[in-house]
Amino acid sequence: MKVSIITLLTVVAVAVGSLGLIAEVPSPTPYSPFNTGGRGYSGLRDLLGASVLIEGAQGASTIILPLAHDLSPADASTLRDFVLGGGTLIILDEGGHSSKFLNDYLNLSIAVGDSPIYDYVANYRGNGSVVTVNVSVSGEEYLCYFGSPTFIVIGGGAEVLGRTSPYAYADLDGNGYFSLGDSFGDWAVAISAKVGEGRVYVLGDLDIFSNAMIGVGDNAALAKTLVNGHPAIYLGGINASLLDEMKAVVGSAGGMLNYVAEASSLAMIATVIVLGRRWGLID
Amino acid sequence: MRALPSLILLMILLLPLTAQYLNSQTVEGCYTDPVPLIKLLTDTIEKLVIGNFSNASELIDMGLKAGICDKDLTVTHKRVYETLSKLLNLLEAVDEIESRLESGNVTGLANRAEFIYNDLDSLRQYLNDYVGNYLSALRKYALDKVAFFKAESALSKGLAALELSIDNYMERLSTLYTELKEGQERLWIRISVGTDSPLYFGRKARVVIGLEPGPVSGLNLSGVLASVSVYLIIGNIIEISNHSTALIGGNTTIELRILGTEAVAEKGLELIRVPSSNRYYAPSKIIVRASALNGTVTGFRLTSAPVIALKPNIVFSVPPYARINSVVRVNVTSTAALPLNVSIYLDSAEPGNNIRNVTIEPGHSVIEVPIENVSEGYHTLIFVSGPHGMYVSGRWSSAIVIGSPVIPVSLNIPSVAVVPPLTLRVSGRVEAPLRTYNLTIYVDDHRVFEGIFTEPSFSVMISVPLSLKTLTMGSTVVRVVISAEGTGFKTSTYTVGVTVINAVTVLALAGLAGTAYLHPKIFEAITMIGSLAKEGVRVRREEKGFLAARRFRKFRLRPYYQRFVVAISRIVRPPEPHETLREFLVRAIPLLPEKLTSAVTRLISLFELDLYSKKAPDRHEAEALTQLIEDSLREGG
Repeated sequence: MKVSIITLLTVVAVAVGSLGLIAEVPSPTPYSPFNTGGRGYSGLRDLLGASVLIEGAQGASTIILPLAHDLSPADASTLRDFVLGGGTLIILDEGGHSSKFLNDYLNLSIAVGDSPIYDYVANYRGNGSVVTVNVSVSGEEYLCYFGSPTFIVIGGGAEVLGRTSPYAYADLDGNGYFSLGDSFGDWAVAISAKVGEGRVYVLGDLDIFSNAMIGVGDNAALAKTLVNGHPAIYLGGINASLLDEMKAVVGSAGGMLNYVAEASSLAMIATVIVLGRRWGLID
Repeated sequence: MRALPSLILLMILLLPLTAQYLNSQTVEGCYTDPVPLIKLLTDTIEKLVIGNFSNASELIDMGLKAGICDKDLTVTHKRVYETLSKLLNLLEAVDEIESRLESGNVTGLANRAEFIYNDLDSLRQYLNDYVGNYLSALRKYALDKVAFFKAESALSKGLAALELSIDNYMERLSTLYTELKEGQERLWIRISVGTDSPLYFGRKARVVIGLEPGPVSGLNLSGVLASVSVYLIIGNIIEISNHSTALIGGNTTIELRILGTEAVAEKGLELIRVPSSNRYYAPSKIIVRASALNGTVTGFRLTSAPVIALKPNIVFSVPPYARINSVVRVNVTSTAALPLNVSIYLDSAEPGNNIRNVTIEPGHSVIEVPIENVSEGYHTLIFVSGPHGMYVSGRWSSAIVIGSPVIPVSLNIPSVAVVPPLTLRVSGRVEAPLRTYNLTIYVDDHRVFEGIFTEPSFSVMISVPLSLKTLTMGSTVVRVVISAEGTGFKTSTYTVGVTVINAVTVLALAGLAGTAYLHPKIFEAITMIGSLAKEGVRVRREEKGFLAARRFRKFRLRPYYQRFVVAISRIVRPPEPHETLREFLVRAIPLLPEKLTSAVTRLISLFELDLYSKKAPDRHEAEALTQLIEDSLREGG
C-alpha cells in the first residue's frame, strides 16, 4: 500500500513538477517579454510592471511595440486607434518596419532606415556597435546606449530627441565597417511626434530596452520616462511563439504561474528525497 | 525503477541549461574602425588651425573620452589628444599675451612668451611622432584601404596646415619676446585701427591708423613722427604686412594687398562657410605696432577682422538634350567681378573626364561643350571653377540627355504614279545640320538609287522596276534611307506606298470592256475567268492544317475522326489546326497507354489514307479501332 502511495505521489509530483518547469522555461523568442536572455524584454516587463498584449489595446495607456517585421493591417489599425485616442506608443524598430505604419496610418512624414549605425568615438567601452546617444525628454537629459541602431529621417511635425555623435556612420552597404559610400552624420535615432490626442516615440533600436542593455547608462530611466500610464508590451511586431502567447494569456492571471511553478518544484524535490532514501540512494 | 530519480534530476539540471542556450548572446570581438577616429583627429586639427579654439576644445574632449577596445591603441590615441590639448593651451596663451600687451600689462610677459615658445617647439616634434605612431596602429584595422587612404590624406593636409600655423605662432612669440625684453619700461602710444568692412580676399584693404600719446606718458609726444607697421594674420597661417609713418596725434592709412583665395588654398587653409549664405571667412587679426623716438616709445594694437571670400554666382543654362558628337552651347551668366577659369567635366570631376577648360567672363557669355565619345543616356555636365581672387571654388552640375536622334527629313513622293515612263520623282529636305549624307532609295526592296548629297534639299528621278504591278496597276513600296555616319544622328528610314497605274494597260482594258459590252460572248468569257479566279483565292485562304485536304476529296472517316478526338482528349490535347496527323501522333505516343499505341497509330494511318491517297480506307477497321480506343479510355478514366 505504501509503495502504491509513493508511486502515486511520484507520478503526481513528476506531472505537476514538469508543468511547473515548463512554466519556468523562458521564451527563446527575440524581444519577447518572456525571454530572460540578453535579447529578451523580461527585464523591461519587470521594470515597468507591464502587461503583455497579443491583440487589442485593452487596459493600456502606453504600448511598447518592438518591431521585427511589418505590422499586419489589423494590428496597424488597432495601434492607430489607440494613439488617436490619446495613447502613448513607443516603437522600437531598427529594420524600417514602422515606416509604412507611420506614413500610411499615422500620417507622419517619418522614415526609419534599415542600415545599422556604428560609432567608434562615442560608444560603450570601445564597442562601436553600442552607440552613445544623449536623449532629451521634457528638458531632462538621459545618457543612453543604443545597440547598432538605425537612423530616422523626419519631415515636419516630429521632434528629434536624440542624435548620435557626428562621428557615427550609417553602414549603408552593410559590410560592418566604414567604406566609401557609407555616410557620417549626427543621425537622429530617437524622435517623438504628437498624433491626435496621443504621442508616438520612435527609437531606431530594438536592443535599447533588452535585458542585455536595460541596465546600461540611463536606458532604464528613459524607459520609465517615456511611459505614460499603465504600460503593455505588444507581441504583434515580433515573431511570437505559441509559448509566448500562452504565457501572455496566463500572465493576465497575475503571478499565479510562478506560485504554481515554485510549489511544483518543491513538491518534486521532496519526492526525489523520499524516493532516494527509500531506495538507499540518499542517507 | 532506480533510474527514474536520476532521470528527474537530469531533467532539472538540463532545463535551465537549455534555456540558457536558447538565449545565448554572440560575443563580438574587439574591432576599432580607424576612419571615424582619423576624421575626428582631422577635424580637431582643422579647428586648431583656423583658431576656433572652443570647437577644438570640444573635439579634444570627445577624443579623450572616445571608447576604444584595443588597449595599446587607447594609449597611443590618448597621447595624441593629450598633446593636442597642451597645444591648444599654448596657442590660447599666445593670444592672451597679445591681449595683455595691448592693455599695457606686460609684467612677466617676456618670460611667459619664452616659455611658450620653447614648449611649442618641443611639442610640435612630439605631436608628429605621436600622430605617426597612431596612424600605424590604426592601419592594421583598415578593412577598406581606399577609405583609409582618403582619410589619411585629409589628415596629412591638416597636419601640414597645423605646422604652418605653429610656425606663425612661434614667429609672433619671437617678435613679442624681443619687444617685451627690450622695452619693458617704454612709454606707450595709444593706437586706433579702422578698416574697410569687410575685408575680402584678393582685394586691397585700407587700414586707417590713429596714433595718440598714451595715458602714462610724461612726454609731449604730439607731432612726433612714429613708424607704423601693420600685420594681417589670416587663419594663423598667412601673414601680410606693410609699413608707414605717422605723426603722433594724427592718422595714416596703410594699404594691404590681401592674397587671393588661390594662395589660401595652396597653403591648406580651409575657409569656414557662413551658414545659409554664399560667404566664407577665415578668422583673422590685424596687429599694429608703432614706434617713435628711436624705439623708446612704442604702441601695440590687436583687432580681429575676418577676411571674406564669396562663392561665385554663375548660372549655367545647359540644354536638356544633346546629340552624340555634337557641340552643346551653354548660356552662362556670371555676376562675378572677375573672369574665372572653369573646367568642364562629364559625369565626374576627374582629370580623365575633363572635356574642356574655359574662362568665364563677367556678364553673359556662351560656351561650347563638345560631346564626343559618349554613350547614349543620362549624363551630368559638371562645371568647376577654381579659387581665384575673392572667390572660393565653385561647382555646378546639370543633367543632360545625350542621344542619337533620327535624321529629320521632309519627303515629297507622289502617292499615285502614272506610267510609262517607268520613273518616279522623289524629293525632300533634310532638316538637320549635316554637311553630307547618303541617300538610298528602294522600290519593292530593289535598290534603285544611291548617292551622297551636300545640300539639305534633294530631288532625284528614280526608275521603277518592271513588274506585273507596273505593267497593270498596283501598290508599290518606296523606301527612302538617309544616313550620315559619325554625326550623332541615327539613320532614318521612310516607307511610302505609291499606287502605280499603267496608262497603257488601263486604256487597253477600257477598250476590252467596250468591246465586251458590244459582244456578249466575250463578256461571258470574262465572267467565267473571273469566277474561276475567285474560287481559287477562296480555296487558298482555307489551306491551313490537314483539313484543307477536303479540297481534293471528301473526308469519309470524319465521324470516326470526331469520335477519336473526343476520346483522345481525355489524356492528350487533340490535334491542333497547324498540326499534321503525323505530328500529332509523335506528340501523343508518349502519353498514350501502351496497349493503345498500335491502335491509335493504325487509326491515324487510316485517316491519312483517306485524306491523302486515292485508296479507299476500311471503314469497318476504322470503326473497330475507334471503338477500342473509346472503351479503353473510358475504362481508364
